[in-house]
Amino acid sequence: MKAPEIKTILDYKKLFESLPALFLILKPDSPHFTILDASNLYLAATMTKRNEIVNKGLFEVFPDNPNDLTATGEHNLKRSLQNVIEKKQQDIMPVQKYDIPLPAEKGNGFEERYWNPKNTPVLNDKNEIIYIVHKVEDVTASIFLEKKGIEENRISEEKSQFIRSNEERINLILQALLKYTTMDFSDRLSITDKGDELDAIAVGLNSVIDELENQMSLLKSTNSELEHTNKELDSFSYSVSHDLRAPLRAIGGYSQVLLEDYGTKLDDEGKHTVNVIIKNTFKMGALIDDLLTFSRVGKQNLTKVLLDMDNKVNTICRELSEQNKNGQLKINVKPLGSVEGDSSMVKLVIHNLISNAIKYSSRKEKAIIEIGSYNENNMKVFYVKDNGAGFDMKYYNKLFGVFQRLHSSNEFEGIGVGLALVHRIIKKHQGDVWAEAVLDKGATFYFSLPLTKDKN
Amino acid sequence: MENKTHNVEILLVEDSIEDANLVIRSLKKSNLGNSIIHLKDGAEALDFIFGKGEFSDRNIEDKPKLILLDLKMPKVDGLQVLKELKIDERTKTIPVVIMTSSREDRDLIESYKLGVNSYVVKPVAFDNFAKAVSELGMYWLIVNQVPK
Repeated sequence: MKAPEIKTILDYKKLFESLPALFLILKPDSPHFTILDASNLYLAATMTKRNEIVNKGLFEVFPDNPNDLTATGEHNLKRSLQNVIEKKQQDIMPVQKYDIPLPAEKGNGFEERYWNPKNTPVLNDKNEIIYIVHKVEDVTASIFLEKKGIEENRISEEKSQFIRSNEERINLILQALLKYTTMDFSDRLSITDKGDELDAIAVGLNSVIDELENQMSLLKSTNSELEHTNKELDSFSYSVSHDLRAPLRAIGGYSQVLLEDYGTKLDDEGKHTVNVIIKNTFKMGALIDDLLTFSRVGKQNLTKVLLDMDNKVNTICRELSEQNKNGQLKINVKPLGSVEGDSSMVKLVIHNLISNAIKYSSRKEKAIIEIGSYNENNMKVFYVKDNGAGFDMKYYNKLFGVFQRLHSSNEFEGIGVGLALVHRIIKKHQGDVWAEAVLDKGATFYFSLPLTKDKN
Repeated sequence: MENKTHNVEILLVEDSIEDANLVIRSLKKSNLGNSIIHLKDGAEALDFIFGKGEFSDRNIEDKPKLILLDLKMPKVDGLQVLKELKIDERTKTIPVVIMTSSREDRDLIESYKLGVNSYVVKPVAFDNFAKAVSELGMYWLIVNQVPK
């Protein structure tokens, strides 16, 4: 590529056209003011083309906006130009609204514009005006901004005016709101005949409070019913604990007496039958105990303390493995840390989960149980994993229900309260219980408790 | 009732005849059953201890060595009997063992507040029940010492 040739003689036409401002050169032929030339920026700002405006009268090209009846552009500009001719001096106009016609491709019409024009005479040696230089700046954007500011001021002034003149009503609404936050719903707001926004607020608020008051009284009566039902349940479980146990003891006890005193008169079938009776009285006794524990946990309040889980789990493991000396059992306890909870309830949870793990892995040649913990989402999660009988995940929804069992009593002893109890206790602690299992491969039971603030 | 009413060692207050018979059987097996009297409710028990009504021929100083007391009984319940025994200077030293089916905390707490000497929940399993009764009898009649 060849470098452009740099001219040492100035090309005035090119130079003028490229000036970095908006210039228009006019002939001083009042009242026509024929356009002689314009800078490129002027053409761009007025959306015109040089060949369309040159040699035309200024006001032929830029007439007043016929839709703006208050337009003063043509009149003021004409007067300024005449001033220049008369005084042979520059004339500076104040900011002038002067809308410009839109080209055909923009749909004709006019566009709102603001300008600050300066008109300057160009004199020859004889002190005669040969041209007028019309220089402008397009100040539309800053005028719009200013207008917007004024409008905003007007609105905020209107608002403060509204607040000032309705101060008392607004205060009443605020006072009522404050009262409602204390659950005192006795007052209602009065409605004026103004029908304004404040009245709309008052009407809306009144109906919300009516509804709230209704719901509250409904809740109160439901609560007292609930309290009554709880008391009944309380006395029911009390008599269950006493009255069901006594006959059970008699059945078992007298069966035992029968064996002891008349054993010689019974054949093997007879002795077996009596033993079945005795065994089932034990089972029913355990059932009653579990049910009572289950219902007691429901109504008991939590007494939360910081629990040393390592200590708790190890103690329970020791107790349980002493009872299970037959078979190969290995319990692997990882570091557990501490967590807040009700000591005796959490102990029940751990006891249930570990004894389940031992029970359901008792048929394996080598039972391995792992107990561990980890933190997740502000919760401390504990798990008990075994390699025992497991269960089919398709029955998962029955796992934590009362009296629900996934194995028959012949396979594994049990009555189906343990996991329901675990579930109830953990839910009471705002925690969660879940499990994963593969049939014949083992199961993992998880429970989570909220982490204490000073994390461990 | 074949029981004699004087120089009684164990007073058993129990409304269930079946339970009572099992208790007596267990005590006898441990050779502790020589002088037991069985009464069926709290009213009878109070009459017996304080020598009133049917037992007006009894002297209050003729104290049993041990009272086995059920809680839930007709007329006067076990807690009431316990209360009257423990507020009376003449009877407050007699050891009282509550034997009940109830493991409700409120009964346990109330009994201890009233000054019970032991509180035993009757096991459903007879073996355990028999063992508990005979150990109780051994302890209170043979091991334990009370002021004369």
